[in-house]
Amino acid sequence: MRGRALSRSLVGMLLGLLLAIFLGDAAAAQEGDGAGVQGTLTYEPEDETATEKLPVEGATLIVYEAELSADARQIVEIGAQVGEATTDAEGAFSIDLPREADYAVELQIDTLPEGVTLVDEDRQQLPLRLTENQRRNVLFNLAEGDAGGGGRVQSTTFDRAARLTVEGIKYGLIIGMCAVGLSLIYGTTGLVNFAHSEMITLGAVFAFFFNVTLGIQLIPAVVLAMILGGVSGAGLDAVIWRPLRRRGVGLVAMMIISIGLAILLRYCILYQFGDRSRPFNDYAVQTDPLIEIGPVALVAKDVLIIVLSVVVLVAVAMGLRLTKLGKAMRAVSDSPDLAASTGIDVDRIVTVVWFLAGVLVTLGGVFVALSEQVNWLMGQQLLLLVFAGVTLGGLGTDFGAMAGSLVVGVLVYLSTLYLAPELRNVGALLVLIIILMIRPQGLFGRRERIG
Amino acid sequence: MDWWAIISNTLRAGISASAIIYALAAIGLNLHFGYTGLLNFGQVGFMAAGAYGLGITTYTYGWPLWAGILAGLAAGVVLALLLGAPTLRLRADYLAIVTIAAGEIIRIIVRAAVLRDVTGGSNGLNGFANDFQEWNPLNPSQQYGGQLFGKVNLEYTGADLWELIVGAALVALSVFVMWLLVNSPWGRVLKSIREDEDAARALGKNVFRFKMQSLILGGTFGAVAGMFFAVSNNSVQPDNYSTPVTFFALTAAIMGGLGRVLGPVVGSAIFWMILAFTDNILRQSVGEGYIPASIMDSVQVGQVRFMLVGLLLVLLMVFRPQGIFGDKREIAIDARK
Repeated sequence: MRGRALSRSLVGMLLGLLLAIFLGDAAAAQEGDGAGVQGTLTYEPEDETATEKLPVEGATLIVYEAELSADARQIVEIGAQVGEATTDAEGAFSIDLPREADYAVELQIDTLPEGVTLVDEDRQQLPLRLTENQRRNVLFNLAEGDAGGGGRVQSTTFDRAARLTVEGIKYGLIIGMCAVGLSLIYGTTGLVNFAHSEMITLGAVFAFFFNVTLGIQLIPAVVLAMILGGVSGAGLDAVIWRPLRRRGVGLVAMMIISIGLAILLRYCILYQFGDRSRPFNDYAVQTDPLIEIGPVALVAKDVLIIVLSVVVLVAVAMGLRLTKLGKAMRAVSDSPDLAASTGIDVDRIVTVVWFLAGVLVTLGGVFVALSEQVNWLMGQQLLLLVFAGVTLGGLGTDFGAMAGSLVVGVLVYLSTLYLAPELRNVGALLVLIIILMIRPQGLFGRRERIG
Repeated sequence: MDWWAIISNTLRAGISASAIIYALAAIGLNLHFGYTGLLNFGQVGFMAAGAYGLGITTYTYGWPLWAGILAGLAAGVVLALLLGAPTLRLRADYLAIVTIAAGEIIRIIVRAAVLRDVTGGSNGLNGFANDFQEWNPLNPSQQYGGQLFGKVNLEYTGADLWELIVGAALVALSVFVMWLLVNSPWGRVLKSIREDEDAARALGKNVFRFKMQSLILGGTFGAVAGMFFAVSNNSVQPDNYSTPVTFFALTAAIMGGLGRVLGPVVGSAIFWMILAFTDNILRQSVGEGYIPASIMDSVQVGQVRFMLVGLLLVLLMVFRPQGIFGDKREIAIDARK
């Protein structure tokens, strides 16, 4: 009978997936006016009394093909020139670009008017990632003499380290958001869930669906996506994992099943969403910093990501310790049998864990998409770092997963001080391997967890 | 629908270079997982080691092809030693994560722009294996074979046929080696480790050493797969060596049957035949309008294939983990640790 229930639930799952596929291309692309890059060059005059910025006429900009880092924030390598433009009397320029690709936009400093300089000399070349047919704005911060915000900023190693640390903390918090769920699932069911990556992507895609396809403002859209993410997490457990647990399927087999599920979901997402990266409708481009502390400048969405992540993670940690439900979760983590014998409904707790994991992972996916864009591979690109965070902290612990993820995030970014940006994940993955070798229970795990 | 074309293409996929590559990789995985119980999720790392070992020695340093092949084999062994020495004492899920991470590290490093002079960066290395076709006794541009029943196209150019002959010989040799190994006392120790590591240890076997030998040998099969991939394409591209390759090979191995010598070979052939069959059916249905373009276009056909792979892996593991030939009692997937 159990076999039949299992096949029934699998058939149900398949029907659901087919339905999702044939509902049509929900996330249809929004076409623009042809790919390109544009902007207006202005500078702050030295004259303190002047209130308006003045346009820069006759400055030359050149666009090259380029290889960018994964998050499109750094230029890895510059290739052939693909376009050139000179600013008009209003300082405006516009360059058509042939296709969706990665570019670098370079401002020819020697074509600037006398006395006008680039405020941050490191930003003479800006990375530009064009996805779909969009026209992107680029912004060069120019000033006359020493007028621009305290004069020329010389980027020292210390400044870069400070900036990278803050970036890393943000990234680590996002990883942590995804890691807590993975760790709780492992703790309560023993499953190493490789499909966690697709839950991350799915969360972002849900938010994209509500925000861009249905046109709901991003904040309510994310709330809806979190609910949907939680429900699909609990749904996955109810439809696939619980029947398998009842059947007594081994943990290694379950791990391989989760890989199959990950592949299935990944390509379903690709089928629906396409292989282009797309931004949300709101908050996609923010250039004016909200907070500036020394060398570190954070735009509003970065501040929001950091604050919200901390609040959510602290709330989860407190909830696990102070509420009855949280204590029950930890009890199931310790020993499902003992927990069951004290009257805890283990199945219900596991469902709640999956719901919570789905909610957290959705928020994590949305944060990744806010810093970068929504992409069908975003979860897969994050998964190994999530694993690294979880194992560093100790599989099955919540605090450990958070702390470990934070370390991994900071490490990933700080390693770019010495390594090429494209190699930044190598350091984190090496740490994962080394930690597993010398302290497989992780920094905060208990010794009995190793087998 | 052109059923004869579908049948031809399906048959050709079953005896293609891809099927050979995945068969070799899956033979290695079978030794690791099917016989020793080692969960190696980084087989693609061994393939990359073989391919880049070969590519770098021949292309970057200009050595002859045979030296490149030796270098590729050596690279596989070195990787196994590096990876195995610290990790073979870990339990299955940790080993899986470490090997997956190692495979990814290799891919990131070989595609890095800073190593462009050595590895070719994201472009990879191209045109280093011309010797392979020089050794071809057949006429590379002549057509061999013919039409089966006058309808099923089984014609190959001399160049392709030479590739398939060498590949098939490699697979046959690997299968023979595997057969000798698993029926030897050494193979029985591996199986005992898979069944109960502590029992094997209690009988005085050096479990770590046997696991290491298994990892090295299976990794060597992976390196051979990578080298055949590199030689048959006459190029190595870093993004051909990404994590999913391991999982596809694992799917092929599970489908054929883990713990069976011929399992991975049959599994890989069937794996590629299923992919080609669905691809052809869907492509024709889309082309002839049986499936409207609003539901599926030709780009999406390729994606459906991979959904199918994922689904296949799930269904196999749930309903028939022993695959086609396997014996359910003989596989390590029920381990509850």
